[in-house]
Amino acid sequence: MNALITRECRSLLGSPLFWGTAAISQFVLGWWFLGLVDQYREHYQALLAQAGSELGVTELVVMPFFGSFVLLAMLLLVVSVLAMGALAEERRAGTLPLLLSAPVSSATIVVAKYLGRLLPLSLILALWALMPASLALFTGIDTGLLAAALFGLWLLGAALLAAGVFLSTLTAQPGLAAVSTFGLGLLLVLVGQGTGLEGGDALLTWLGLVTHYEPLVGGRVGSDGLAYFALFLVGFLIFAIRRVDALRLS
Amino acid sequence: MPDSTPTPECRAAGPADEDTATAPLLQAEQLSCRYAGHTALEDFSLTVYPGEVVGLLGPNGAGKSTALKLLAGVMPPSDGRVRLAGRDLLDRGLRYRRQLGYLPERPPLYPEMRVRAYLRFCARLRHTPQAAAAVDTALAECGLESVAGRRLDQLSQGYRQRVGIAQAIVHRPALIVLDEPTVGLDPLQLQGIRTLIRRLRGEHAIILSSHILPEIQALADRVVILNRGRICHQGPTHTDADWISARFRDRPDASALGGLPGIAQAKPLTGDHWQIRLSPGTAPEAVLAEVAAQDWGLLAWQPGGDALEQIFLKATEGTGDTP
Repeated sequence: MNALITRECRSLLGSPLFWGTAAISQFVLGWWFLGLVDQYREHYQALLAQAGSELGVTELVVMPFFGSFVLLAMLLLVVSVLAMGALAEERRAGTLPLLLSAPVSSATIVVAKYLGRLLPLSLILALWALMPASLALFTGIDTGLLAAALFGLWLLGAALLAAGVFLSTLTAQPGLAAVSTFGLGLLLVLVGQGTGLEGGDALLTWLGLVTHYEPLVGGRVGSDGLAYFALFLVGFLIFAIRRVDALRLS
Repeated sequence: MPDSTPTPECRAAGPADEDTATAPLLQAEQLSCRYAGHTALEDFSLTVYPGEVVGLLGPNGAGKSTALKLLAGVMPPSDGRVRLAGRDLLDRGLRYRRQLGYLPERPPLYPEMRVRAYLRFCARLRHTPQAAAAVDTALAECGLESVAGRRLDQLSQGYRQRVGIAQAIVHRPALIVLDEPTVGLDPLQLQGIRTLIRRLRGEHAIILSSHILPEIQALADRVVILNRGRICHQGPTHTDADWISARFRDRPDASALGGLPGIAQAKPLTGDHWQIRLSPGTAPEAVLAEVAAQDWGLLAWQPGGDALEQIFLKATEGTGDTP
């Protein structure tokens, strides 16, 4: 397990694709974050002072940053790029027989592939979090709310990554795996967001990722949200294990 | 149409010089592989003994790679079972795989890794004790010390093949499965890989595949010929010294050739390729002079004959390469 995780991490951290994706997402989110800070300084700061409101940068910069579609789109992009290589790249490059003929279980292969990608994903999320966290240098922010929002983002990324790893077991084309992950992720983000398609269906609303992500961004860490993400993550990993088992039958 | 029924002796499926006291290392029983209405392999049974080298021979598409994938546990069989050192692939998959080293047709190399790091990864993946020492041994055995620090994508085809073999032996498995280990190599590289495989025999049992008969004859103790997914022959690779293989420019008359003094039997393989069995006590050079004097345009005369070539040609006659 350790050998596989280490190889995955090293391979990803040594690839230009990973750093390129990290840099692009950081640049886009940096632009978006500066826009939010600018908007706060230009429009809200004076108004809040006049009105004596308790609202501050946490509510008007940090929460909009974590709750924005831009951030979710970047998360989907990063997860898709990370997940696509999990099994699809092994199949395309002809290296999968090395793993399938080795004395390691399918569960070990899938979990190692997953953890080997979760660590680099966590690194990117930490880089993203530096932006809102840097506000603490200049003003007071609610660190508890920042931690809850970051935890929510990490849970969302971890769950989507599990779905991506499963989709990567279905094809030998990494590009197709990436597009599938992005598509499925986007669909699950849109479900329950008042697109009209779900027609108020409680089940579809419950299925939507944002339904469970939004409370975390608002600082509410509930067991229902945690259970949803845990079920999502474990479910897709089990699907992936079953798929690898079907490839080798052991 | 080739005879697709296994010959009676192949049912015994033992080694060339079978030592009945030795327990078999690998036992595959009636393995089949079918998908999308296509039968890639049918009723494949094979027994391999420790230290034995078995060659899997057949034209492209005969089912060689499928058979090796099933034995290596990287593809599920539709039917049948296989045991390695007493461990069943389905029931004891992980223990089965500990005893196995597998080189697929395309060496499973990660291009961004360096040779030593790659072999260390393979050793750790197979839970090899003292992985560093095992890697050093594999590097030395496969002649890779000089390229140990090179990236895998910077190696020549011959070295890539050597690294592929090194990953298959780094954990000292009882059985090594090599799928077309010499394909795409130049003659010098070919010689190097042959020498390497010969060095590995004894300590490991080896199953290797090829579609080239001389390749199997050069390396294997025993040959299994596959055609259209079925075993059509199993037997030793050594040839019958009483037979001579001859090629002619013009097709000889069967009765005229068979009636020449010193010839006990003459069998055509193809129109211009014949197998000739000499009468006991006959000097081969006298028969050669007789045959050369005929008006058939003798092109080749290979003492020692080639019963295996006859079997292979018959088995694959008219099939061509299947997709």
